Amino acid sequence: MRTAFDLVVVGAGPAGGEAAIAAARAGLATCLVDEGPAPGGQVWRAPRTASARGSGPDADRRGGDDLRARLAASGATILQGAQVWDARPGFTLSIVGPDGASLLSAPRVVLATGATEHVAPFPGWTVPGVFGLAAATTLMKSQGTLPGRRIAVAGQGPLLVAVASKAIALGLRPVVVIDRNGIRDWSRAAPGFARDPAAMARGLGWIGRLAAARVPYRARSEIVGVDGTDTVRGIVVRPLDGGAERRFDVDTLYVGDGLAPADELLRLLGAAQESDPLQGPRAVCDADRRSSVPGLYVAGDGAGIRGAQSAAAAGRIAGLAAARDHGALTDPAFDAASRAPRRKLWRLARFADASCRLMRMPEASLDRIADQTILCRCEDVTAGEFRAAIADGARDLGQAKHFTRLGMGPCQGRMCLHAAAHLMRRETGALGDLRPTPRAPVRPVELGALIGTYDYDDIPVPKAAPL
Amino acid sequence: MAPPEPPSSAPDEGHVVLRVDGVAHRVEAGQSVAAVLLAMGPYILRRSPNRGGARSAFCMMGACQECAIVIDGAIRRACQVEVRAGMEISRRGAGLGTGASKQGNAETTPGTAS
Ligand SMILES: Cc1cc2nc3c(=O)[nH]c(=O)nc-3n(C[C@H](O)[C@H](O)[C@H](O)COP(=O)(O)OP(=O)(O)OC[C@H]3O[C@@H](n4cnc5c(N)ncnc54)[C@H](O)[C@@H]3O)c2cc1C
Ligand code: FES
Repeated sequence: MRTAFDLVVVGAGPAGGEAAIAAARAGLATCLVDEGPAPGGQVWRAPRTASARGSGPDADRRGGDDLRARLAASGATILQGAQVWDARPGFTLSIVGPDGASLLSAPRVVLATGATEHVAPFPGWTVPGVFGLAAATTLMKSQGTLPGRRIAVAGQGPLLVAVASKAIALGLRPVVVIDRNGIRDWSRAAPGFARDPAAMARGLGWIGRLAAARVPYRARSEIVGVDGTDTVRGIVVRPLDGGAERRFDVDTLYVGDGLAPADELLRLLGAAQESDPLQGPRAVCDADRRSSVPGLYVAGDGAGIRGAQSAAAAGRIAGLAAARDHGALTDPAFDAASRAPRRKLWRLARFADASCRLMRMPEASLDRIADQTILCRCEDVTAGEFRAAIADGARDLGQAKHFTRLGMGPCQGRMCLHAAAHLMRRETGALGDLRPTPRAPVRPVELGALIGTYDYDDIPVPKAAPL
Repeated sequence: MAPPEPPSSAPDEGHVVLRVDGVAHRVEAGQSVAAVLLAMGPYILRRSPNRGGARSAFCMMGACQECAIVIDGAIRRACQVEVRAGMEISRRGAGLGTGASKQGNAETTPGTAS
């Protein structure tokens, strides 16, 4: 395989897909790398089973099918099932994929790595049967199924309603939907949502389906804990504004507390970020999506949470800008081609703000994390142990890591560092991001893929070393 | 639980036969290993190395590593691996992790209707 390109795009969601199409059409030798089995990313994920394909195309499927068709015709080299696990300035990207390990080099890179989901830890969130909300969308889209018989859906924002409503469409009526927002929060979002009438109509359709199925809805409430150790027997729910806790018999809980940029490669390459109350840590970039690192462009949720339509528009601008900077597009041609996506980004800004505001987890929910709650799932470190490390003098997450092993497991802190950073700021008054600088491998690489097959007994018990 | 036996060995475009903890199952092609195991139940896939807590898949997008179990002899993330004919899957993680295979399965988790 060819390994030197004019441009490498990481991530084949709406952002990366559009960036690759725009650059390849302009004549750049473009390589698109993505970990998933087919282009589409999270929201436009391709169906993988006959039952998922048979479920009838919805707007997301059509968006994905359109992107996949245009990508196939674009002339870009597409590497699916390939993880980028290291990135060096210049740029050299280390990937591991179906054909083993290899290196890609290019003077320009677009990072379009999307988002990961936050879940605020609560007692029992590690029990089998508790899954992320985003996990539910993945299962429904690619496999057309959702595990569970008596399910609860909890969290806040559009994904909550989308999952609950799509579960009903699969014949699985939730026992209860638990929303940190209330009717008033949703009404406040309406003018922003109206900026994308199609999305608004879809959202109202979801709400209508929940209402028609008479799904019990707990507004302004959150999960206190899960009853059960090896399986979920029930959940306990509390109203945010006080009032009695309530237990629900469920066997499966889908819970999510909003999205955060998947920014490991961005941080590894040293691109500047700034904190943003709605978008999470946002990549600093100019209007053409150039980051603070020359030759590095950013688009989509990985650069700050904005949603699928904005991701596609920003991706297109990034691809065009890379082509322009490469000398493949004249300034007038660049201006003309980027006018429409720029207008779209501007029009959707308030839509994105409204969604992000609803998705945002209230900090008070993190403050309430009880001492017995497991904070770091990989190493079984509790919030109490973490607080004790701070009391013993740990002043940043690096020190706390040494004291407690928090964040040293195979997930490399993806699941815990957000909450841990919050607790650290609360207890010490420290400011800023506080997450330790990422190191390669940024994605936990399956060792077998790098070094060939190996015996189960050869595997070191993964403590410090990422898998 | 999904009907464990007898798997048909007849070639079939839409399905593959694989083994979970030594037992053969015929499952729809195109699924991730994690999706197959969750639908089959119980949810537990492994135990956490430090405290032995029961764990299952969580994020389904390759980030949390909770689904890392032995697939064809290597520790792999079950949510990122597609089922394949002849695949050998053990509900067992790295380190101490013993999953459902050593549990005796007194408790059942839901999956597809029994
Ligand atoms: C699990 C999940 C489910 C979601 N479901 C919905 C939904 O149903 N509806 C909705 O409106 N929004 C959904 N969202 C929000 C959604 O992420 C965005 O609206 C949209 O997908 C953003 O597009 P993107 O191109 O920025 O990123 P994504 O669509 O997330 O695409 C990023 C791609 O980059 C790949 N990638 C990342 N890092 C690497 C690496 N190191 N190596 C190789 N590949 C890499 C990922 O596998 C992914 O395919 C979901 C988000 C998540 C995290
Ligand atoms: S379920 Fe999180 S990595 Fe597979």
